[in-house]
Amino acid sequence: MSAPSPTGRARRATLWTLSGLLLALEAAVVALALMPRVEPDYRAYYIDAETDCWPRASTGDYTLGSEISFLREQADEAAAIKVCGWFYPDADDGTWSHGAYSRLRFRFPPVATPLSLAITAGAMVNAAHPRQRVDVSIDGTAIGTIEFSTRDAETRSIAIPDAVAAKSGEGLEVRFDYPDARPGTEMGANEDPRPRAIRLEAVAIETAE
Amino acid sequence: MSNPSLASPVSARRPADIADIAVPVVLMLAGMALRYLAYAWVYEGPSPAGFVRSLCVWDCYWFSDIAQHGYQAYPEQVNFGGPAGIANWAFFPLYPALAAVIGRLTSLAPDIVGTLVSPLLTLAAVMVSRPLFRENRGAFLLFAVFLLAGPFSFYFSTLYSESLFVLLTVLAFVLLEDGRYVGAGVAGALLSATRVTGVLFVLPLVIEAYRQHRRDGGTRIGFLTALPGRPDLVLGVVLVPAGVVAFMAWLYWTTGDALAFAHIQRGWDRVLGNPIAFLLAGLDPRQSSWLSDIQMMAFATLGGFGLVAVLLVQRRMGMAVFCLAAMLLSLSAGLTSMPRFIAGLAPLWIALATVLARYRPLLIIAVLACLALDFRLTVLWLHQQRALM
Repeated sequence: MSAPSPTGRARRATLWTLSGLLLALEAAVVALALMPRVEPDYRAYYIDAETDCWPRASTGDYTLGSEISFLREQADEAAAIKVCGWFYPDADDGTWSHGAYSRLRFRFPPVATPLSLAITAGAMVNAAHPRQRVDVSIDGTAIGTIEFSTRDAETRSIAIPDAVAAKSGEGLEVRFDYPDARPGTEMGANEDPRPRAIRLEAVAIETAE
Repeated sequence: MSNPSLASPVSARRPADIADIAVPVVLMLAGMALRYLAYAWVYEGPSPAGFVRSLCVWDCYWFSDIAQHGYQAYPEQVNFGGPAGIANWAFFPLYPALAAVIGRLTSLAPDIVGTLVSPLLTLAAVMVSRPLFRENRGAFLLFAVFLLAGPFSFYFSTLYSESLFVLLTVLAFVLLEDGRYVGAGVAGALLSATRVTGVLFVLPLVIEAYRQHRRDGGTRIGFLTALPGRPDLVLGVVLVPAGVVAFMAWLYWTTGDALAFAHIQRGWDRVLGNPIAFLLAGLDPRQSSWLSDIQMMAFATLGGFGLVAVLLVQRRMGMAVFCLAAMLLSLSAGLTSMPRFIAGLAPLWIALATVLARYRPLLIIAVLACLALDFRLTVLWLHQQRALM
């Protein structure tokens, strides 16, 4: 085998130099990929998947007493109050909860009468897991627990303390926590591995008569 | 058994023929006319502007957004109903950058640029592919029909990156079969800047280099020991990921997360999983209706795997491995968009064209079927049939 000519050697040296530089640059970028500089909310939702809540900039605008549908055909109604923790709306099922908790936002002028939150929903249940509890809190204040035990929709109401309701003008941050949430794969309902608890058909804040 | 057709550079084997240029041009125009007819069939009062707008559905919005405004700095907080937090980072930059440059030069809107440029890129892909077919003109022309006036030509006719991906794939394989590893690496880098699966071109590059080494009488272990004398091959391999790495660097600069293109999939409710499990779930006969959208996606995926097997039988190992890896990677995020991803894998069409062109009656039937399906599937696309998403 003959030795490479000076031109050949120079070409080889150039190619090796380019390869080395490029490889070093690529390694540097890969290293950056391992050290993201992002906000904690971003990291929790996108990178660590510690939360299923990426908060939308929902207005929360709401007319007291009106029932908001979570069926697909009325998706625009629900979009104004949905914050996070919901799947895409379905035509028949309404909107399934997504993950360990969901959030809604209601903003309306304060009223002097007592208020209650009415939730019409069915649940992810089977014989082994016959109920889904929903721990309801508003602006961080626990207001009670309700239960759903059938896939068919039922309506449950829960009273809103006056002191909590008084802040409705700034927006009430309603949170549903689901201690019994189960994935469809475990419950035999579907092939989805993500936890679900309730399928919300409608929600309303009503004045107590 | 050696493959004599690979023994010399493919680009040096035959002179260009006027028919090899004229027929694809005619096919491109015929395909555009067919799709316009499909549009006129669906919509009343058709117009060229309406045609452009009607073809531009689903991801076309995102490519248009990037071409006009660049990449977002932060995810959307207003969403269309799902788990939330979407951003345009999922879409790789080369194609929208091309649309942006042409848009700036011509003052045309991105969807118009896409409708004009994508068919031209596809035509270029057909022209560039000619050496891969060697003396098999029938297969070449059928490949041209598939891309320019075939069932999935609508993907190559609007603001989607499929046309550029097909062009760069074909170019990369032509250069690879010529043994021009640095050139193939550059094409691979552009490929990986077009779509994440482009980075998988590193596999055929190594495979074909190894096969060439063996054809030249080298031993298995000798392939590794010969590498110090092959800086062109090493540079080619290192070049391929450069496209995706450049995009990662840009994302880090813009968002702080170099892997934002992957992480943002969470906003679309797409989770990584076992690709075979996704496929089997799609084939489950207990669906709400026969040939549901998800079943159609699953059958298309099976068809893609079938064509990978054909590539293996044809001893096109590099192409087979590239397509198989690209399909598995895409399938690991679910069946959604699999027909589009498969349609964008040019080697699969090369395999199919080579088989069908062996028998003249079959070739004629295939051409007629393609033209009919071009019309029919364009109608479904205009109706936004989810299976074609």
